[in-house]
Amino acid sequence: MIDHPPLIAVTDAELEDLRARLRATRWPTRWPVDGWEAGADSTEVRRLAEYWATGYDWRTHEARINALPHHTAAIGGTPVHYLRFDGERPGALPIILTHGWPSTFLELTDLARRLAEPSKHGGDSSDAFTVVVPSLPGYAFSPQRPALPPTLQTHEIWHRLMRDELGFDRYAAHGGDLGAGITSRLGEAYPESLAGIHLLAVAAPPQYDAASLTLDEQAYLDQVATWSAEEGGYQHQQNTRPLTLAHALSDSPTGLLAWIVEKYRAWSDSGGDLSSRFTDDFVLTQASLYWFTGTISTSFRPYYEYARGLTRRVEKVEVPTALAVFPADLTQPPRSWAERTYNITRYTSMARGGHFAAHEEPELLADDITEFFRQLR
Amino acid sequence: MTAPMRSTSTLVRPFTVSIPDSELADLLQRLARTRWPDPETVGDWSQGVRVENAKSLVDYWERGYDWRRFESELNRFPQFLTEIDGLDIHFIHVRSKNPDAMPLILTHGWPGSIVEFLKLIGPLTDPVSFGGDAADSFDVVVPSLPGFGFSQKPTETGWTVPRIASAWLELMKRLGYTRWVAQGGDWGAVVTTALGAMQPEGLLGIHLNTQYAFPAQIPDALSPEQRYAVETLALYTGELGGSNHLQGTKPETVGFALADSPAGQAAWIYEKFQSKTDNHGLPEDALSMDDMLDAISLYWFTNSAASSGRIYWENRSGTLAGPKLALPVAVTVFPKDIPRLPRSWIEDTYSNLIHYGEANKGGHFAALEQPEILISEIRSGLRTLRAQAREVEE
Repeated sequence: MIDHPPLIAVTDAELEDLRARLRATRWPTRWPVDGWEAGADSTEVRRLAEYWATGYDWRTHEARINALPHHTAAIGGTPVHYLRFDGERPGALPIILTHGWPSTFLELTDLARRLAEPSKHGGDSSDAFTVVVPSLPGYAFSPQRPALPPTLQTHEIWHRLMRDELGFDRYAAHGGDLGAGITSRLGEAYPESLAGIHLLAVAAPPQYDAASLTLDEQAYLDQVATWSAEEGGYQHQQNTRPLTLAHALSDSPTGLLAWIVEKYRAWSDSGGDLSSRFTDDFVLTQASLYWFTGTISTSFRPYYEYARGLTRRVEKVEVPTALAVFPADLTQPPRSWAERTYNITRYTSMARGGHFAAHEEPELLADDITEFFRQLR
Repeated sequence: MTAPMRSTSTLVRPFTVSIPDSELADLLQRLARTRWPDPETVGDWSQGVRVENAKSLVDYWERGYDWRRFESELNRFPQFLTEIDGLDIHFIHVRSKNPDAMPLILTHGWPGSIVEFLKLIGPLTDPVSFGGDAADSFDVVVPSLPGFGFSQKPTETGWTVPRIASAWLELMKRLGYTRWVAQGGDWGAVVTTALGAMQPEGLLGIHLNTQYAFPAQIPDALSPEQRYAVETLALYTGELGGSNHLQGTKPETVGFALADSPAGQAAWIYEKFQSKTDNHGLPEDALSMDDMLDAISLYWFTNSAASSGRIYWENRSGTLAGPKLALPVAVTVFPKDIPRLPRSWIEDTYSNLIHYGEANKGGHFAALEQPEILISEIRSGLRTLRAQAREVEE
């Protein structure tokens, strides 16, 4: 059926190089801090690296990746990779799902299938979406833009993809992490095209009067500040000197694995047990995608651009907006905080799940997205 | 019930650096297969170490740099190990031929090492041979911080600055010094300041080339010099603070990559040589390739990227508002240091300021960048303590 070359075909030499590097890993000396308290846990990183080098079968995952409905469009001269899952009935509402860091399109495939074919998952075919899952510029199969802004910003690329390339005059959008920012900018910039947006995180208002903060909002801001201090070191580095870090992560697969696996564990509703939310194969396929496409460095670009003020700041989003707050996500913004910037018409405190909600709780998330957009079709 | 037995060996054992050929070969193999990131999208270093510069450094490390040359330079100095508080501490110890020499302990910082002080040892111990005055002779002790270089890596938590300072006290005592002085920059200044705050018997005074002398509460009205100090300090919570933030909270996470990738380890340190020395844009303006690679190689061969970064985690509650010191303090301010403190705050913090010097060039890595200036400042800064040192000894 495939009439185009496979999207990714890692050579045997590249595969062997990865395994050789993993086998030759030079480990830091152990330090008896309780697991994960001072960063990635040595026992867990060693276990995963060992499995990556020996038991993990990239070829199986490569074949699954190649079997996904891949497409590439050239938007304003920039190639953009995306998956397209057609809705199970004609007239399905188009929706664009945007992933974040340290993730890829792979996080969203389960959610995408549920949204495209609800009747196969206990839902109603009238709720079907036609789902577009692009890779962010600089992630996996979308090359990074060679220059800093002013270039097309990601939300502008997304809109051209949806409207001009795919012909969707009216569509929906969902995103978490970096994807929540891009989705917010889409909603702000193109209200005539967006039926609404569904978010897992919200942008802070450009300015606010501290005296007007509710107790809940103040508690939330305290939560954000604590999180930034305790957990935000990676972001600080990626914001300011991404390339210094990228030299090590581009050269060491074990280092790359440690860098991202710490986030998968800490940011998910894992109760501290990575395996409760992610299979080893899922984590290592994400790590393999970053490794084989050589994109950890380019994946840092959105941090740097945002920190330098090169990314459009969200000011006021008028389109109907839903916020789904997962209990184990990094922070839990209260509704009133979101309402300072967004036209919040739905706010859901989810029962379980964390930052990687689309992978952790695809059914809960699909239901929330479906119910929100049912009124907006 | 008997107390648990604890090793109390006070033995001082000679130490020679000898990295096996297999580790040199391993390094060259790793360097040869370095996988590089995409190049930066800016014309400067604002995204971090530029790929072309990192490649030049690594290329020279692989093809031009001679570790054995450095190893033999290092081994010309008498080095020792001694176990203190359960940990083997590595140090260089050079006694002056002058019996009136004043004992001095020099402490490095991060990403510093004993490499920084090698050019100081000759002139400090034997000033006459370097055009100086015999009266300025020092006995010099240069330890490696726990987790750094050839000192052992802590296998338990709790190696905070006060604990390191206590280990230094024990070290000086073990070497038979009853009246001595201390010097440091960066973390070395933090340790030296902690020693100063402890005011142990025998510590006559200290010299600092980084001053932790910010007021506990920064006032609203600032002089231009004070404003500059606050701005340079802010670089550590902003543009230049990523590594501190990471190492203060998640040192292990970044440690895996740095332990495994020599190019990554090199870049991690090289960036600091670019951002914190007195240069015109390139680290090579301030430091030689060989000096930088001596330091980087020492981190690599001792696999101390992760263990050295842990000093930030161990001391994460610390501030740059240092304790007020009552003992004699000499300082030298280097113009491109980050942060650079104003004289007013230095005077407020050190009530017995015996010397205030402003160098006309140099940055955060003063010992490596401007050894001659630092030597001269240490000599003149601590000179007034010598009479006291001799009286008590006699």
